[in-house]
Amino acid sequence: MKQFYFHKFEDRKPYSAIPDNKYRTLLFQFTGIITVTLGIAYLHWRWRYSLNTEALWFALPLVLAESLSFFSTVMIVINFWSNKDAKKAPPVHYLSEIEDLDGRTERPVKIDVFIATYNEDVELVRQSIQDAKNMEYPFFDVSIKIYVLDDGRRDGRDATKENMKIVAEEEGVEYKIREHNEGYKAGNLKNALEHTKGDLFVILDADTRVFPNFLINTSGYFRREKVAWVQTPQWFYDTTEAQKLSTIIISKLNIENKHLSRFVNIMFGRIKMNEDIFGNDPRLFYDAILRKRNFYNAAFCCGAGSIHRREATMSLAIKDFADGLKKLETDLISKKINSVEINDQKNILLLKQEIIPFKFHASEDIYTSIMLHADKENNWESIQHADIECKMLSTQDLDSWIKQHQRYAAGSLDIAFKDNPVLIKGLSLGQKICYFSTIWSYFAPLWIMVFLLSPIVFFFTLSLPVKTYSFDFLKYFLPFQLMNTITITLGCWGISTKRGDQYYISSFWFMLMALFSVLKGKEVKFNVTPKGKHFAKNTQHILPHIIIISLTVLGIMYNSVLVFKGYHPCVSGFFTNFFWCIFNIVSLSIMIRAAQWKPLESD
Amino acid sequence: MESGKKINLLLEDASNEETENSADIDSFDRTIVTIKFEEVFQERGEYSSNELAGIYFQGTQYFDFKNVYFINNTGIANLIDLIKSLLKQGVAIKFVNVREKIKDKFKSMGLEFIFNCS
Amino acid sequence: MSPKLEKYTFLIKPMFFIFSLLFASWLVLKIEKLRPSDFGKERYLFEDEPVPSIAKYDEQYLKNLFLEYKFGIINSRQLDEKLEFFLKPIQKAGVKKN
Repeated sequence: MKQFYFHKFEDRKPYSAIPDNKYRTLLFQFTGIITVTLGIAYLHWRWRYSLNTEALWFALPLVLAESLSFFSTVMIVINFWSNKDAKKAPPVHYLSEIEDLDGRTERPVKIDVFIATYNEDVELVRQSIQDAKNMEYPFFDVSIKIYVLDDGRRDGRDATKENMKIVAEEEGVEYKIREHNEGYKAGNLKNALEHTKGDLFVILDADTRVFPNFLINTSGYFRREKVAWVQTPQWFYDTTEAQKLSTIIISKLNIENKHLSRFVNIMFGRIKMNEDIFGNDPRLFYDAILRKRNFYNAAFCCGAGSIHRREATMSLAIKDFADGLKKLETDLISKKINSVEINDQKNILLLKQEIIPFKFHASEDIYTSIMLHADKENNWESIQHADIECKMLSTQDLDSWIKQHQRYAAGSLDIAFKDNPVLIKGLSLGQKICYFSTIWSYFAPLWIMVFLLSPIVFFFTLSLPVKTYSFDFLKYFLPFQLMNTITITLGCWGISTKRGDQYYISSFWFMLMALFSVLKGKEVKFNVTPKGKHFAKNTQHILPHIIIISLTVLGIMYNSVLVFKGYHPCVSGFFTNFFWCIFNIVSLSIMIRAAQWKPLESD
Repeated sequence: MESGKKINLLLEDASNEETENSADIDSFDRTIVTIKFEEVFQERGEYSSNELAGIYFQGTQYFDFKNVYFINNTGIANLIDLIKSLLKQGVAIKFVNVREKIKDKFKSMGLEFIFNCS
Repeated sequence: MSPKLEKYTFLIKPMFFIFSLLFASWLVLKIEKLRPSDFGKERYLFEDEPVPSIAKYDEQYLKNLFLEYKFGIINSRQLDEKLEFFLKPIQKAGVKKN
């Protein structure tokens, strides 16, 4: 068997979902209300009394950034407001358990498992196939068919490529290809749905390895006839392990002297670093953010590790098909074309129009979810399942991480500009807020940029964005920040947010680039995330981080001299900005560390 | 048996490449006869065929929906594919004896102007 | 819970939210009134101490004022102005008391 780097992580056990606690939820709501009220009071004071009118060029962007950031806080409070895990149910056996037979003859349900692949190592896909084959189900007459959907067309026609078809045949599963890559993954799934018949279908990526109980634990939800899909948490079992600081030092400095090594070990051996250096652990997203959206029926599909009701997916596809045709017809009528011509044109349009189950988009999952939630005739429901039912691989280098996250950002922003969920009819207020909250988070680099640059501007211009860092500033700011921290801690109870917070700040540059590319109207491309390690030179990615950190350190040094000599016009301003800078530098440095990271020889 | 009369319409392989890419009359004929009522017909044993009969007359293909009591979204998608593949070959399609319930379903999906029903 | 009370349980949540809102508003009002002196001896932790007013109940101040007048350092108009300034707060306090 081919050896992969992740084999040493095979024994890792997934985390358990945080148990729901209604008292914690109530406490969160209480602190959430206080946070929002204190935030309003702080911003009221900021806008009304604190602006330094002599430096409005500086004061206004900062207060605006603070206000936009506060808006995010409000949306987080709304998102985390309550938890409503769906009731678990035993696995389904017969069709009548998941939909009204409407007179049809009873039969066992059929389940398809789709493994979408493009260019991944065939042996890696083989492992996913084998795990899918190992899925258990209590009813022998329920048909479970596994399909490898190979968009790389590795069926042996190209001798330079590995042969995926042979692997599928060896494993005894179906193999499907198409002759083009239209619609990327969504197109691949469309092709699969056209050639399969399962009442339920599971979407897996090439590296998604399901646990044996995946179907047993998820199919029962479909007893509720309105459930369109169930998303399970994506768990990356190959995130980087913590390294001893002493090992890092010995390795980087090439220390060979035995005594010196022992000394370094004694001094730094207890300090551990670089655990999940790429901030890949998505627990916060699945176990807190998405799970709590069950309350608003707004948990969206994230692709791999989800199970879908075919009828729901197809209903959306047909509705879209009809809407598209109607729109084209209306255009023709508005052009005052006569009825005979309209009929001819209609036929041409009919041939052009396609039935597309998943939106052809770089963020097809969230886009399709929005549209299904907005279908008021069917009132489809979604479920974020709390427990982990599969494992997958994370990005193992900064370049891949950036590409993946830029695609998420650009995809979501593209939806915001083309089909903004706030304006879509059919979504409830809660759903609109939740979807908007996701999109809004991708605008964060705009205010993060201001927060990163403000101390630098202060250090070199000695202008204050506020009248003074007075007692009033602290009396409004500190309680708000304190309550904000308590509220977020309660909302994310049991989940470490350290890495997430650092990456939220330090990914500002890439997210900003994604935002600009969407604003420029560039097409969002579907980049397949590489599976494996690619230690590319990442220096160009961290140039903005290095520049900001350097300017910040220079500013601190310059201002320290001024303070020491007694020339500084606002010492309290210097200290406030100094602490602010420490936070900025720590947050930005994670990206630099990630760029430099590679496994130590001892690993 | 009332329930036995309701059937699940699913078109099998109507959109496969062979049918779509071919314009000769043989494959065209095959396209017409591949509307299959899956499972239900087989299990009931009430009909000799599990296919829906279509009659071709003066450039239009007629399908009798007298025995079709139920259609799901996958079935509708397959019908659309059928209409498209026939349209490519210049053949119009008409469904006759369509029950109100099915017509309503077409209407609710906004498809009443695509499916020529009577 | 008795069946009589049970039908009012739906009120618990709204009441809880109203209480939270009221508490948060009260907290904001309390914070607004906070002054540095509330934290102890340091009246002016972040700002410069204002220049002390000369109008104090200070005999010395009055003595100095009259001495300045006696020795011609200030004229009667200036004396009148300074006395006016000195007496203003005392007069105000008297009015409030009445």
